[in-house]
Amino acid sequence: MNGEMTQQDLADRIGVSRQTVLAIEAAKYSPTLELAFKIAEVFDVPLDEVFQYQGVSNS
Amino acid sequence: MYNNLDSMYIIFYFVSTITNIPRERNTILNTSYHEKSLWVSLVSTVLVFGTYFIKAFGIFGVQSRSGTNLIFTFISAVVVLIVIQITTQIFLTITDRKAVEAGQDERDRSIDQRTTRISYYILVVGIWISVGSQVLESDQTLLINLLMLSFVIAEVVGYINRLVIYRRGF
Repeated sequence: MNGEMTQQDLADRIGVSRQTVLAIEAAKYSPTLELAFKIAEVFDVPLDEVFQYQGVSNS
Repeated sequence: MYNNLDSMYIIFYFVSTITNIPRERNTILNTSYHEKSLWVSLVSTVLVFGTYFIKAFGIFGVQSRSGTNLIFTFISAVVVLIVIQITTQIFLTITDRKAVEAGQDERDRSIDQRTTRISYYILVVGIWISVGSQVLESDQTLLINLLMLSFVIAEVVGYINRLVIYRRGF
């Protein structure tokens, strides 16, 4: 977010691997609620500023 | 210069052809310790036990083995597999000690949980086939080899499943 830190820095602060951060950024992994809150806390922003839910269309 | 990354890329290229996973080279460089460990386990298991079962069942014109010959072949396969895996795991640990100390994160655990079920089903089917073989032909060597084959196939499918999920995501 805004180039404030590297993927490794973020990974270290939230307790996951850099590849997990990469997967989250690439939308290949949906983190648990706990991890999502940790990420929002690191950037000091509300949760919905970091993650947005894109529902599955049933049509 | 040819190096270990090139070897992994060649194997990855082959697997990506089958599984339709993107083939960017930096994908290899962004591979976590646990994923590299899975690759080691997959390749070593396929090579070692593939060779064992070719000899055990006498496939591709190789003369099948039985009795003490087969026991020796099996023990050799297990020893070779252990040596390969320990050696390569030590190498991986040295190159990424931090990841080893950190252990599995939630994504690693989640992928493990998702892939365990299919390995279990394959193992169960294999056991039933092995038991069924005793009805048709009461050969204890065949029973043991079929049980081993079930276990190996379950493990290999588990490794492949994990690797696909690591790349494709869920």
